[in-house]
Amino acid sequence: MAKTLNPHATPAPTAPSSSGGEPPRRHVLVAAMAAIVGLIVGLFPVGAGMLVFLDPILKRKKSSGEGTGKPRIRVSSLAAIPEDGTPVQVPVIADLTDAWMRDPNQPVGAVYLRRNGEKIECLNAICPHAGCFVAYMADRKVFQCPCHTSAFDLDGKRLSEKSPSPRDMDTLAVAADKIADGEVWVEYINYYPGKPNKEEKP
Amino acid sequence: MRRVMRNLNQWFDSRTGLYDVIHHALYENIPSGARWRYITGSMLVFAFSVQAITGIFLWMAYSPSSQTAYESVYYIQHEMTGGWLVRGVHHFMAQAMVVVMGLHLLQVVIDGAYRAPRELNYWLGIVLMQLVMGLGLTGYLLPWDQKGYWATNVATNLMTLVPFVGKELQQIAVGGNEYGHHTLTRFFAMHTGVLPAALVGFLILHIAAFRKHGIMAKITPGRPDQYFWPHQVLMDAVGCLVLLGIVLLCVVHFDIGNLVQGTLPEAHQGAELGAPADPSEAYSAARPEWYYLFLFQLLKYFHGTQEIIGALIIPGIVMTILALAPILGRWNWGHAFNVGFLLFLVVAVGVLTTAAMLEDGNNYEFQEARKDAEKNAERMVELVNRREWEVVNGKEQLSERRMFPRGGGIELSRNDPFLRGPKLFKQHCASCHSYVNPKSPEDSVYLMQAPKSESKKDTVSNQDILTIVKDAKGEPVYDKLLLGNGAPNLFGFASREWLRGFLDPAKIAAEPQLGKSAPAKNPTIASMADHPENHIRQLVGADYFGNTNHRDGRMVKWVKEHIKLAKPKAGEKKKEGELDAAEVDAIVVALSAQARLRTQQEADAKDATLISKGITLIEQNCAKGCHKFGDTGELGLAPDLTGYGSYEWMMGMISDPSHHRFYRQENDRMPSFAADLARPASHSVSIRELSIIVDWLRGEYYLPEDEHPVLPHREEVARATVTAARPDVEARPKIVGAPTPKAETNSAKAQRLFARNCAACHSESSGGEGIRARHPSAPNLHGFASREWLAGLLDPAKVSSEHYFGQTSHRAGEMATFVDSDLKEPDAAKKEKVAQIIAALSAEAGLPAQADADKKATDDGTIAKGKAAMGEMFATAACTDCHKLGEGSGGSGPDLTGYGSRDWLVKFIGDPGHETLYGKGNDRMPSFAASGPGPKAALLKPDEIDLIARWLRGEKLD
Repeated sequence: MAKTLNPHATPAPTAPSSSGGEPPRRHVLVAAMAAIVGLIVGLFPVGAGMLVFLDPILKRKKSSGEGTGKPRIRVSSLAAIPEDGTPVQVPVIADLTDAWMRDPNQPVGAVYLRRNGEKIECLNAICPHAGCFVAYMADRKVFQCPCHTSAFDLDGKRLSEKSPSPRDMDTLAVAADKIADGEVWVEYINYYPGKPNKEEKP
Repeated sequence: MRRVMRNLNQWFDSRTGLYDVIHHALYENIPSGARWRYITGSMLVFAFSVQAITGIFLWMAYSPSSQTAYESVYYIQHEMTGGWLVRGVHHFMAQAMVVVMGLHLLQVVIDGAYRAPRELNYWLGIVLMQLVMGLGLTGYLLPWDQKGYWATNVATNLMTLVPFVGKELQQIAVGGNEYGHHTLTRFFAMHTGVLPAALVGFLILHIAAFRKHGIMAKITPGRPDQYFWPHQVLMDAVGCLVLLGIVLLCVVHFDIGNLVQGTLPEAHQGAELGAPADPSEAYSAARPEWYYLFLFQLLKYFHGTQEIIGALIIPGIVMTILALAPILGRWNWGHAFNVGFLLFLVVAVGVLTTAAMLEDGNNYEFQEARKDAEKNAERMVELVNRREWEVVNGKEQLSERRMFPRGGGIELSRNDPFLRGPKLFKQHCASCHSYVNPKSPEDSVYLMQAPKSESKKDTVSNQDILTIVKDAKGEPVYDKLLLGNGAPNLFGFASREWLRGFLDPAKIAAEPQLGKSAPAKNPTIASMADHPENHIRQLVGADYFGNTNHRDGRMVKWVKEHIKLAKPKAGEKKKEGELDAAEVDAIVVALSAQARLRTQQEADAKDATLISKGITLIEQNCAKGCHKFGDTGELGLAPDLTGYGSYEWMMGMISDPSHHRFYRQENDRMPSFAADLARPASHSVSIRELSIIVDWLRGEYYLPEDEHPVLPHREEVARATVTAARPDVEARPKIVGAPTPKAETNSAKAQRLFARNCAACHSESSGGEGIRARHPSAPNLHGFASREWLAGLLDPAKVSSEHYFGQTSHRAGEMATFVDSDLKEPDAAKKEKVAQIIAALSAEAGLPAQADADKKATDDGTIAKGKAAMGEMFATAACTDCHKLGEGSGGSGPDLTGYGSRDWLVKFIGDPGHETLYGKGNDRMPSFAASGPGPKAALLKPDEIDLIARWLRGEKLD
């Protein structure tokens, strides 16, 4: 095909005839190259974008292995928990990290505390079924989830075999050494809802 | 002219081919003509166009981040011109789109339009359906209100059920581990970018494929064919108009009447907007959008590990069967199956949705939660529009609306005393304190006593049901009232009315009684007669010291002895120190004025004279010996009355009632909610929350109906106030690098203990040295029980002075009267007798400084003579008439055996009201060794009392 240096010249009407021109093999090669180059330039922005999109899981993989266990958080004084074994809901105050923002001393969740004899028991207030906030019904002395009617007794055990929840409420460890000082510290951990076993959220 | 137009058209058409396109679009043949049943496709395109247009305009005002999403939607909804209309149309058109989509699917399946050659087009339609559902789900979160937040939370949690990659899927959707900024940015990008773009793409394919194969017409022989234009277009347009009409009716909540009159209430303006999302605040009214309710309900039927069946497997199977319809349709009965399956789905979705709605309708807690949510949403509007009465350039005026602070809506809702005050009070205070407003029982918080109950298996439902335990008469049994169950009713605390009751001898120490029981609010429980909830009884009648130790304390005793509210009978004389009704009223008014309650502003301004009279009375009666009031009186025995009931006083009192400005060791069981200000983590209630409780109790929060509205205290103000309210004498700045001070010596400790515990009343000083009480009201203890000290006590000129019985009731008591009358103007013999008594009595103390003199007096027989003389009569009495000494019997006065000795002093300080000491005659001196009942500790530990005793005796301590 003749090239012209004049950009205003009318190009020759040259749709190559099916028989003439270059051999077909050259066609296949050019087509393959065009496809590959096209794929590369087309996929590049998508690939780069996917890195950002998948950041939540990529970052987790990168940072996993750091840290040893969840920090213990003070949630209440011992005196604030009723003697008669009624559970109380207390907020968990910790540093709230939200993407670029870190806000100290914000409520990040809630736990139920209850005296069982000498012991203090702690339950995460998040329902293990689908993650709603479980309410305590003082009248019936049960924990009741307002969403899908899961109900639990004071120990956090499911009330019925037909409970939608796959496991009992999540118990959290209470620090025994702090109880002696009259303070309640718990190892605050959120678990994945909907699983039969407690699987720690990252 | 016409030629010009035609030429122009031709020119345009030859360059664009638009004419062909339009022609192609409009002149599609419809076999058997236009029909209403074909309109749903066009309606869907119309609905999507409305969503795209309104969506873009909403986009221009929306800001996706957890600090701004709610706020920007609030601004659209309540402030922008036409904001609620556009948002309302977008909200309700989305729902309409789902409904029309269902109709479209029904029409397609029933007419068999999914079968060859239109399979691909059908599948494109199924994809479009998923995209529309996805748009609904993502859009629900964007306002970032409680409803959207919690409902979407459940949806993303369900994603973790997907096998193998569930958790990762959820993390990608949420943009991290927890909901936050990136959840919003991702949902927003999905809602406005990815899903609409995909929808447009698939829609083009869907329509192109539709046009390729033409309409799947219902042929009626004899009914002529028509083009799409204009007959079908008119039908489609009418369908869209009806759709828009219905949506607009929904937008104004069918409230045509108010719309026409221009009085459409805010609740009827478009889509609702709840309170801002708060991850720490449970939201019990969380439900998905109504067209997802069937899925929500389905989840309830699958138990435990079967959840995945309801959440993923069943919806998955349903979608697969729907997608397989074209293939199934080839089978002989395939079409019938497909139609039957779809109709079954419609019925199933209808039944599940109805079941969900019925269950919620009968669920008392859900209904309450929804009312609560509505109340919170309305309150947010009030809060954003809050104003305050401010002084600008000396002029009082109503401020501008305060709108959102930098911390956003959540800062407003979390810190609003009106919303949070009652909740925090119930959580932290209501196990002891009530808040009974006689005019508004529904806003009151009562102390409750539940009956004994037990769990019984119900024979019908085979479930455990709580029932009451009954006594022989069939009455419910209640536990004995626990001590401490019943601290003051804090409604109207420090108001005139409250103080009038407090200073009423009949009311101050009233014991709590079991009041009425009311049926439970929850109708299901109310129908169960033996349910303990129906027999919970209010504790009433104990509005003041209730069931605390203070009920037997000095304040109650003083009120009972000194306050006579009844009119004196004719001829009855007022006793000294007694207060009549008018005086009590002045005290009440003056003390209540210190609280500066908003409700009493006018009354306080009016009663200035009465207040100043009351202040004098308080200084004379309350600040002598017990309370401090301004510069009068000392801290030590009872709470400071300066600023009593004010914000500052209450912040100090609640944060640390055991502080020396308040109850010190005499505090009975009230926890120090925020004692150590340096360690916020040790607080049971944060200063911020304390301030909310106090502002709520004192009514200092925004109410739109206030003429002069106030705003609650800000957190920094609360912190500064608490610090100022609890002056800490020991926390002075220290020199950095100074040598560490030596350990406190015993004598320094003794002096400190005396200064802290005794020096409010007693001095221990001579000639200006030592510890001096600012307003001594009890004996100066310098050289107590020494000969010199006793000589003064037995001197008629001195016994009633400040140095001895001072301001106590003993000044006019039997001892003072005796000294006054019997020891006046003594002759030589009497003088000698008194000297012998002094020597003998002083020797009982065995003071180290007097060891030599005592030995000499023993040797020369003075002491024996003195002991004998104590049994001898003076003019009216002998010492032993009242006092016990050794073997004698004694009387109302303290036992003098071992008087002033270490043991005697320890016993006296520990319990001056002991029957062998002052007994009932004890005037105000606390029993420093007494502890309890309950967990209340003694004012001083035994070793501390011992140390004070030894120090008073002048023993060598170090």
